[in-house]
Amino acid sequence: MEALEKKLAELDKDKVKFSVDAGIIDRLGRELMAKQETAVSELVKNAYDADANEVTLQFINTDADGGTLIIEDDGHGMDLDAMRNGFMRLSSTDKLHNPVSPKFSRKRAGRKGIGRFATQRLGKKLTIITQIEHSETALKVIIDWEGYQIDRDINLVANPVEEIPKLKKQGTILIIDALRENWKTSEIQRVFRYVSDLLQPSYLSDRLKKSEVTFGSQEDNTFIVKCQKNVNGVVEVISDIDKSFFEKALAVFEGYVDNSGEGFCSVTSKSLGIDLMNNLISITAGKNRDKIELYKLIKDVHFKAYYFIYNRTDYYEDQGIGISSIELKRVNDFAQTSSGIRLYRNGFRVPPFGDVGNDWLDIDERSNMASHANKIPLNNRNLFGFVEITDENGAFFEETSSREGLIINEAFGELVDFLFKAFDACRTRVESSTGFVEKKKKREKRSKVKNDQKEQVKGLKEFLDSAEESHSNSTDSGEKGEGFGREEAKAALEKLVIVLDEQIDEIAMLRVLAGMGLAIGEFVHEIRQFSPALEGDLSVLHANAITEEMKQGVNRLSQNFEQFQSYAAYFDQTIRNNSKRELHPIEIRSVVRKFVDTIKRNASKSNIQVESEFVGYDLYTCPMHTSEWNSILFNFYSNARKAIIKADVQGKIKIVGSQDSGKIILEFSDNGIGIPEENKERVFNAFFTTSTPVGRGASNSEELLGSGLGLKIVSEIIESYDGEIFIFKPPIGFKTCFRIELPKATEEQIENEQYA
Amino acid sequence: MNNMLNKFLYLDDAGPNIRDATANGLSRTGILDVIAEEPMTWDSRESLILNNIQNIDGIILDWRLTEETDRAKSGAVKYSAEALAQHLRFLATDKAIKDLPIVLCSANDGFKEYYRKDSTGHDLFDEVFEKKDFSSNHDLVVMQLKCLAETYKKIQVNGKYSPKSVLSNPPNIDIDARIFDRINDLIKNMVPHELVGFLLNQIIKKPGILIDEDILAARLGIDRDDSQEGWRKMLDSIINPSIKYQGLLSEGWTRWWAEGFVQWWKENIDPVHPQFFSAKLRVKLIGEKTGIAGLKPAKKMKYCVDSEFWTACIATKKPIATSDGLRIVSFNEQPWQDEQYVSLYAFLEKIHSDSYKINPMEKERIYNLKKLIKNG
Repeated sequence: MEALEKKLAELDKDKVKFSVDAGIIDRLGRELMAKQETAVSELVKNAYDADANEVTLQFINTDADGGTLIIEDDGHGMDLDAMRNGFMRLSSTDKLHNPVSPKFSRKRAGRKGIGRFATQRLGKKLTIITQIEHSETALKVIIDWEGYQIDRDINLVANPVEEIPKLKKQGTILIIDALRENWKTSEIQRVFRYVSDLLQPSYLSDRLKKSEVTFGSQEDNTFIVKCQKNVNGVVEVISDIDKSFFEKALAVFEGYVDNSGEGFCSVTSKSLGIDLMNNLISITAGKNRDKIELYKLIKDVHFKAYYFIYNRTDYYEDQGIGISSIELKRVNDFAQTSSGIRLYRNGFRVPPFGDVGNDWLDIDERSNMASHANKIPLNNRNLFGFVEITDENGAFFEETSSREGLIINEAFGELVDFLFKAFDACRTRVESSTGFVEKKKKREKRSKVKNDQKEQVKGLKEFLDSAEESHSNSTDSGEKGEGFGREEAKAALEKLVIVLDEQIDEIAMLRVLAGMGLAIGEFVHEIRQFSPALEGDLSVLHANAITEEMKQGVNRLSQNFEQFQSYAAYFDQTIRNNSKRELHPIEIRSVVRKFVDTIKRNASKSNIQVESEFVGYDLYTCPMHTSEWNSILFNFYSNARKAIIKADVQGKIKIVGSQDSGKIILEFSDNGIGIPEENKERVFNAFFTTSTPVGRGASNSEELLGSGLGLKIVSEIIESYDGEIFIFKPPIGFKTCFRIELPKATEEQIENEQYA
Repeated sequence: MNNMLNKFLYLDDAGPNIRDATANGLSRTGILDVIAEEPMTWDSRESLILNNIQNIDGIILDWRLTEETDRAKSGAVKYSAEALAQHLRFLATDKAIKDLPIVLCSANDGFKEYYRKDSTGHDLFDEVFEKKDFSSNHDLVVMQLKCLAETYKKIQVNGKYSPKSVLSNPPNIDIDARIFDRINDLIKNMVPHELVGFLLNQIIKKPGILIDEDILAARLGIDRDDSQEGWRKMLDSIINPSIKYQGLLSEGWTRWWAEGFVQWWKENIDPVHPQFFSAKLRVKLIGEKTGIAGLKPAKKMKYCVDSEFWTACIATKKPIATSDGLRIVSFNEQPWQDEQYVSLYAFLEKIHSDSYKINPMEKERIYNLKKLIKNG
């Protein structure tokens, strides 16, 4: 029929009409949907727009190309008209004319007329089976996209519609065959995450589900996406990410006002050792906490909130339900857009209560008050909460005409009052829980390492002296034999005193070095501020240099300044890294490369060649500070340089990174004077130095540079990570080789470091 | 178009010597007139800017206004660069003051990277510079500042714009309708900094409908370093006039029309789409058809399989085929933008590894590729 019409039009010689090449479909599909996951999410959005409550994605045998994707929803479906004018009509204006969905008044999520191209983008063949509630039969259309080839008129490609028995009450099933690309589990997960932005939370509290209250099952404006991967009949459910992260909450707050108007709340937290038993707190409607008063207007109110404290993974560490800092960070990121206490009335979200920035329970305001300064953080950002109210007759809560918000009446006042008090009670409960107090103490203890060894040694000395005194007294009285082992004990104690004394000196020196480090940090930052200024003046000079000599001078100045700057930048970077407390797995090629770049000039000035070599990839150490690597490499380098200058040779330094059975290995070799056998064990001791003793008039910094603490510090860093450092057989042509072995990062740590 | 000096106000809390020298460095080529001042208290700074706004064409802000000078440290400056920018942007959106470019700079190395990760202030500043670029990349920085100042002026003087006059796309180049929609929205209630922000962040700096020199070289299959003279000729005489982006901001950011390039290829070199040819063949054909000598084909990076180059590795800027690239995560992606890639080599060698994150969807592939390397 249409073909006939078309032929007639062609015969109509007086008029011209646009005709459309079928290839446009192919082109549109490919160009509108660059990515396959966008295409799938468009189809999920279409289900949402069709007022579906549930949409299921089944990826069947998609590990290779050519698999099948079935998208099934329980939305309103399409009749023949809707199919013809909506789905089959290019650039249908339906979504422009009807920006909200008919049943749930959802704001349409799909983009204009994109869905059909999404199916074309995904697979070569599409089968649509769709049924509406008030029809006896379903419609089935098969579209073979291969038919839409260039140089065919679009009107000539027809797709037969069949009437078939209904498969379900209502809804649409899209079967996309011969998928153009493969779908790995990770990609399916990503799509799932992608569409979960759309999801309205459907966290009906367990108590209410069991209770008599109904939300009108079909009226329930929930939207659930389920996702399955099916490989040769083996079905794997791709998991619901939202649930899994709530399970990791530090605590769960729950509460309700029962049918009689009595209010309760409770806190559960495995991490903090609070369980539900004996944990119900009464909330009174009145002002006096000791007298229970009932709420008059609100009944059957329920809330549940998941509570997180950010940046404190150690609070979560008990009973195997810990949370990693990465996970916690993800929750924190999620909180930027989705935290707060949301209000649901008869199963429907009532905006704007609980939107980000809406502090309807004054939670943020309260926590900002000074009296809360030292208490646990409780802001909307720390909570993912849901408040459910049932009010089938609309007697207590009136909705505003804009359907946004409830009119603030007395009942609403009661609700806010209840929740306000309940959250306060939950906060107090957490704060007073022994688990929390202990963990807080542990933290404080950890951060407060006291250097009171001096006192201890003093006490020990006094003890020794008095022991000796009583010992000599007793000898005087002639009771020999009782002193068995006393001499040994004394010797041991004296030895201990010597060791302790040494450690005290070492700590004192480290303190001086640390202080110096801070001062250097401050200055380096100041120096960095000069860079743009000096460069500004240099560039003016450069442009105005007249004589050849001036030009050369300016050039030299620029070069020297550049070197100066690379030093300053390196240290600035080091110090900035230092202020970050978080540890990261470190790929040694990246730290070595930066280091070599920085010292290159200094080395070539001393006539030293520096080369680096890496064997294998993913040379990630266990999580460390970048600045620790800077200390290690700088110490090695300055020792090597000194040894090379002493040997008076054409200097060579070689840094080799590799891995071997779970260890990351770094070898640092030089061709300096070498280390005599007898010193090989001692070099790692504190204050061991081969530097010539500084002269009388030496400055403090000279004294510090030859302090002999360098390798000691390096070995302490390495040992604190269960690593090893030792002197190794040097490669041919080299004299000394220091070898470091550190545990390799786990696969998971490496992945977290590499992927977003 | 306008030969008058563009005046920039430069606010920095560093001491006057440092401040002035930095400003002089920027002014030295006689294209900009940069005046350095200290931040001062909010009230004095605000009234100074508002009273003088007709005399300035742009503002350069140091990132941390409160750290250096004693006055700043004493607490007289209680606001951040972001706060000041936000305030001025707000007034400009309200049309209470004229709109002008606001850029951010810092002496910290890697500041751009750092800043890229913090998305809160992204739409406040037209561009972000590291201060070392003021000298090491002087000409480009000055050109971009000048371009920004003149673009803002142009927009506010001319007033009337259409998407077509914004982009100046040649008639034979189709533009994604959604870009036109977006630009239409932006020019309807013309707020210059919003239009500039959209063009810079969504059109110019992300490859898609426009491409930069690295990607252009990749698509031509030419090794730029190896064919310097030939490459210059290529840019000047062949490519430039027909497919170079000439729309707003093109004086500061050199880009080419991606589709224009393909059309140029089909018309001048071969009717078959260039992506079907290896780099070697592309360069051979170009040499034959254009007569330009000395063009060298780009070489495959280590671990790459295909030489049908189409994009540039984000870390090394060297040509790679999309099939060899590992997708990276990009923020705020728009449908008309191309996926960006890093080469396996750069990824494994950790070259500029701070500057990108790998798309998690590549996990399985990387795992398999690593196995291949080990076996091979």
